[in-house]
Amino acid sequence: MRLKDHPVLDFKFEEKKKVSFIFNGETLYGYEGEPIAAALHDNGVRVLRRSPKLNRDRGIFCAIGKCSSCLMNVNGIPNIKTCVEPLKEGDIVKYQDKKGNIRGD
Amino acid sequence: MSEEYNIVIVGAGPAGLAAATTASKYTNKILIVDENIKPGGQLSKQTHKFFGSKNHYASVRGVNICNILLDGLSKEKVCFRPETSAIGFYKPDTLIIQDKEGLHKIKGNKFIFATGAIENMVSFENNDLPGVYGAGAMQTLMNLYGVKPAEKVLMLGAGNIGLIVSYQLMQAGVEIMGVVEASPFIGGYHVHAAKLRRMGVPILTSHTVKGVYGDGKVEKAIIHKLGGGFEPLHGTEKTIEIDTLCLAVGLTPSVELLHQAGCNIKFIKELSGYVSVHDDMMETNIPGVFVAGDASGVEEASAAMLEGNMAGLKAAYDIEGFNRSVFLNEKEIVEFELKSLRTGPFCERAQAGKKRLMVEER
Amino acid sequence: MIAYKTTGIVDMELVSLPQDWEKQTRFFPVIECIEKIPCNPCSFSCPKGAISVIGDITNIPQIDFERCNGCSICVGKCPGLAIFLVNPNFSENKGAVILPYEFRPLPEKGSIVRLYDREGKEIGEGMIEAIRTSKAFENTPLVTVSMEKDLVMCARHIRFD
Ligand SMILES: Cc1cc2nc3c(=O)[nH]c(=O)nc-3n(C[C@H](O)[C@H](O)[C@H](O)COP(=O)(O)OP(=O)(O)OC[C@H]3O[C@@H](n4cnc5c(N)ncnc54)[C@H](O)[C@@H]3O)c2cc1C
Repeated sequence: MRLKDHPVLDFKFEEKKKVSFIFNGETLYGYEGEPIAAALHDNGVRVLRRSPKLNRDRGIFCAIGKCSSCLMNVNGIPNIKTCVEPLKEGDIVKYQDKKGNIRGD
Repeated sequence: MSEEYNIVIVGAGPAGLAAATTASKYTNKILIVDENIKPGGQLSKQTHKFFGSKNHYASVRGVNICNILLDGLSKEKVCFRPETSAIGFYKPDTLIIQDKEGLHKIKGNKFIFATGAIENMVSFENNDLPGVYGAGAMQTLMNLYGVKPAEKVLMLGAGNIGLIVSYQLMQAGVEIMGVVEASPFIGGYHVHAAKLRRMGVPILTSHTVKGVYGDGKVEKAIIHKLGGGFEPLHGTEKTIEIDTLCLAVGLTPSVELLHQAGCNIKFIKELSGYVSVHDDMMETNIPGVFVAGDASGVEEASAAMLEGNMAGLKAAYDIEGFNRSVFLNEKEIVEFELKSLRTGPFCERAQAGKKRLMVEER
Repeated sequence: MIAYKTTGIVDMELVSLPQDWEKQTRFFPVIECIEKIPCNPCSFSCPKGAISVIGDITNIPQIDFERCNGCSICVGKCPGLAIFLVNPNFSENKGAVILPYEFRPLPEKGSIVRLYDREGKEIGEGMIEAIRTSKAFENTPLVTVSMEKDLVMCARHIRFD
């Protein structure tokens, strides 16, 4: 859910460009230029990848590009810090298993 | 081919922006790089009015202070590159940065590292479950991008960040189930605690989180009481249904780059971790390399800005060699304000830490 | 250790009030700021010079009730939202409180709201007499609520459906 009536901030969503992107084969929407992780969070997606050794689910933790909890595969490239990666129309975002691999699967 | 600048600043938080503001009064060709999409660091997420001195934007909301700093920067003198990470420093004058296009070499005369801090994690069962977020992450989602970040939150940590972020979450329509604090006392300012209490939020001191549980995401937390020696008291467990556990358990200075650069790094507990030794004008043991803000010891934004002013002033002076009395006068003002800011019981720790740091040999 | 460090609730003995405050017939500030924190905007905000932070910025604000004209700028400026204006005799049988309210939606003038004390306990009902927002308050809305006279020193938050 977006914060349309906030006591301090005005996000001016009506002036922003809505874009579509694909997450694990499903079409989702977000605003252009916002971090991919923020758009996913707004769509209710909490699990972004699985840890390399113990196969544990991982979501956002720091959201400032420091902790690598949000690494995902974006347009075929693994290990993208989605909390600081701006969303573009048509991005193909995939859940990342383990360390990810260069072929993007 | 590499680009050349007089001053290269890493980090566009309050410290980096303040450094650029002061430096640009006396010199030009200043570059700021930041790995985030938007400038402002932690400051751009602070929707509450700031404390501190009237002279330093007190009573202005953090997000507005950030805009004031950004608007004040001269476009001719200061170049800003977002989405750009600094990943290595090579003595005496080379910074390696990474952006969409790849790696680049940047040459500089002076360098100011204002890389901020990273939020701490604590150990409890399933602390890696999606839905365990740093307080700053909640702020990024709701205050920068307008995403309602959760429905029901339990906050761990009753320092200022835990208290303030709880209040900001409530402003975003999120329910705060409580603030849990291991210490017997509320660490943050009373006024922040009071805002939560009058809205009915319990603050549970001498309590901590035993664990969070759920299927692929946080669904509940179990908390328990702590005894005088911080030992868990059996039989005091309580289950709270939540979708998010928010951690506000302190920050650790980001000194990786300074460390790699060869700065003299010391562990100073009062400054929240490993920090680079620096002199009274924020210069490290490597001449021409400065540090400012949370990266030089976790304090708050007013101190970060003053340290930035100081580093920017000295860096510019060393390059331009302008009128010495102008330099000394400005130095004195910043020193005075830093000193006055660091008085009082809440700043004793940082004050002691800074003292310990400065007596170390350069 | 002082109780507020565990409860988050101010000790009212530490808060200064005008003499015979119950008899006052105009708004006066109640500054619930009792800790040595580095902060001084209240002292600069007051056009009458009624509030001062003397010496170090961490000193507690001092108030001169004689000088205060009840303008409420300090309520909007205080970063801790810790200043309230209280008028124990707002009308013949009501008192009133001016409090900062940074939530949405805003209550409507004339509407009835529930009142909460410093612990978040519901203590009664009040009526919204006025709502003001201004750039000078960094857009913190100030709400004037009238209530039973004996609630003015307790009511610190409002809610409504
Ligand atoms: C959740 C939270 C709430 C806070 N609330 C308050 C408050 O209410 N009042 C207050 O006074 N203070 C508050 N603070 C503290 C205050 O925000 C910080 O003290 C202040 O922002 C520190 O400024 P800084 O410039 O040192 O670091 P930051 O603001 O952290 O900025 C550092 C910047 O450096 C960038 N960076 C780091 N490493 C690199 C790299 N290698 N390459 C490129 N860029 C890099 C980061 O992206 C970031 O933008 C809060 C802090 C947090 C985390």
